Amino acid sequence: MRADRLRPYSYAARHAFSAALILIGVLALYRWVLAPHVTYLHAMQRFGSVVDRVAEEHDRISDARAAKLRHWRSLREERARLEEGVFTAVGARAFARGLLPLVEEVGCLVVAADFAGPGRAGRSREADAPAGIEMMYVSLAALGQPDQVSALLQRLGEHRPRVWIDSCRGDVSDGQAGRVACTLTLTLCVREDSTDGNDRRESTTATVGSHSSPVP
Amino acid sequence: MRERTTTALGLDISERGISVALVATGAQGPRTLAAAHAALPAGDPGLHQAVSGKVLSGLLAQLGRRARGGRMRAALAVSVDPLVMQLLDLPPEMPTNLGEFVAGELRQCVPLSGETLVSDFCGVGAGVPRRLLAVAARADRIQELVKACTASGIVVEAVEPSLPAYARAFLERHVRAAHDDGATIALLGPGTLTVGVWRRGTLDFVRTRRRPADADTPTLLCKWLAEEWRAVIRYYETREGGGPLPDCRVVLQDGSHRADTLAPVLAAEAGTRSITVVDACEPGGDSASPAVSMTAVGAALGLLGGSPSPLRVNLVPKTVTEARSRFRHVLLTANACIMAFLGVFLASQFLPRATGAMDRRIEQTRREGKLHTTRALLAEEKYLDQEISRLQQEVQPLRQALQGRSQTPWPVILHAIRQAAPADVSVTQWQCTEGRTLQVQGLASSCPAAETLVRNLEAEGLFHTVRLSSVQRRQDDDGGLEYRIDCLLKAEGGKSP
Repeated sequence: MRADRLRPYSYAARHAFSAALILIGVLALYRWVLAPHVTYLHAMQRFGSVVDRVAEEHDRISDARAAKLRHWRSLREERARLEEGVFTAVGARAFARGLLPLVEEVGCLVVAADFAGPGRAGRSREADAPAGIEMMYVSLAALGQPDQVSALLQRLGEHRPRVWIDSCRGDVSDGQAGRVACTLTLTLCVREDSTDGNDRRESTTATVGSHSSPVP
Repeated sequence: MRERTTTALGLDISERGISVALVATGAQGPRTLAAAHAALPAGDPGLHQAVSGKVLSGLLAQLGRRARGGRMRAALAVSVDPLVMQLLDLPPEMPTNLGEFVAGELRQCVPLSGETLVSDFCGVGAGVPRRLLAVAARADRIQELVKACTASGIVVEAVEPSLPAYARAFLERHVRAAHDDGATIALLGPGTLTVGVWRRGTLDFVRTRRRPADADTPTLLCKWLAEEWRAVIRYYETREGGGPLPDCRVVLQDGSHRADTLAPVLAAEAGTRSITVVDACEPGGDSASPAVSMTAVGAALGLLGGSPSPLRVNLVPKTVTEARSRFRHVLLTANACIMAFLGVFLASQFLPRATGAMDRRIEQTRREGKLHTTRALLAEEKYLDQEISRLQQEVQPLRQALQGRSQTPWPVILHAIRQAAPADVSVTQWQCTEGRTLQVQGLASSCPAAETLVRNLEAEGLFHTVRLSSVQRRQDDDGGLEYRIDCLLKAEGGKSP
């Protein structure tokens, strides 16, 4: 029996032996039972902290992305709205060719038309004009009944890309049987070096006036 | 001795009976709470373990619940044969190993020769002891008694001879009653007579004699007792500084004689009245109370402490002590192992739970797509930055080019002018510059007519301000008025410019 074997030893040695056995047992249990759990728990804690940081970064990026997406959409809408007022070079030429027929179409009589504008070149690069945008000025004098002049102004107002009417003057004299002599100064914003590809892209955002007819 | 212990169980086991006493100490000194006595079968000189165990269990049942406490301490007073008690005078030069010296002296006793002994010793007298009380008995007999007690649930802490236990109880009562700390006590057992003399509370003489086989009648027994008494007297008379002996008290433990029959015979044989004969168990206070063994009470007082006779010998065998020590050690080790295993078990239960909870949290995060979509989000954010930058580059010149330009609703304005003009007012010219101001000129029949036109134009809601800026009467025949109205167009959205 173990007790018999222990008899020759002193109490202190017996206690030390038992304590050593218990200590060894506890260490062995820790090594084989608890240590894997502890190691796994430590690894999970480290991984958990990384996951938390990634999740926080994900939330931050997600919020920033949502704000940027809203900004991007507002910029797209603003660009589409602004491009309604800008002609391509081809479109501007087409508008110029179709302007006089448009006047006659509504029943007005063309009195004078100056595509060079009043005292300025037809297409000029103004000093304060932004890069890539040219201004095209057209002076137009037409004679017609008030309804015909209104129709002309309506057609010009509905045209897309927009035609900017800088000045408008109407004169009614007795000698013209109630007709109105209308003098208009038109301004067209033309995008420089716009290509067909750009035209195709812009066709998705700009609405061309339904009554504008290309000049053959 | 631990003073906090106030109750102890004393056992007196002889070859003829077993007595137990439950003793408690308090402010008024020790008192016996309960006591019981049982005789062992006659004619059986040995103490059989089974019989003693049954008797002990019965006695404990008589004592009641107070004697069954798990922490009750117990002391055992035994009178076995052979049992040797000797007073040893220490040599002038103190032996280096006192234990070996005492063991050597005890091994010379004839009754114990060749036996496995259990022995103990203690100093006699106050101060530095010059005499030792050495006690020895057969180890197997003592071990047998301790086992019997253990089998009955009694944990015996001390085993001592009956004489010191009886003397402890007697002297404690005698000192309190008569302020006398001297006594001569003779314990008469079935086979031996043990005589002890206490003077000034100190054991001064002890002697163990075997009963003669032919002293079976009271007369012969008393004659032998008187002879022994006279021998002690002669010893003290020849001893230097001996002095008179204290009164003698013969305690009958043999179970075959009664004190009331033996006392007159012994007085006649000894020729003196200073000898008192008593039974081992003294009757209680009333007739209903059981007899109390003074030996058992003395054994319990030895555990409780505070007695005038400070003799402390303990014959608990070393094997029993070692067995108890081993048991305590094993119990302690088992408890430590259980605690360790319990701790490991709890930790092994807690750790997977903690890991599982953390794993579930990570899994939840993964299911929410926060782990594998972060990189795509980063790429998308970078793409959005590029797109926003490109769009801003595209939009900026457009904003600059179209800044301040507004679309004037000319058909509506012309229609409003025609509708606003009364019948006696004609519009001959209108002119607009920069899309802000509109100047209307014409002829009116009168100023109120021109004012009417102004009010009508204001009522149209197209203009921010309408102001009649000039009126001039014409010099021709009709006498009409030339007027001029300045209008400030509302900005797009209906706001003022």
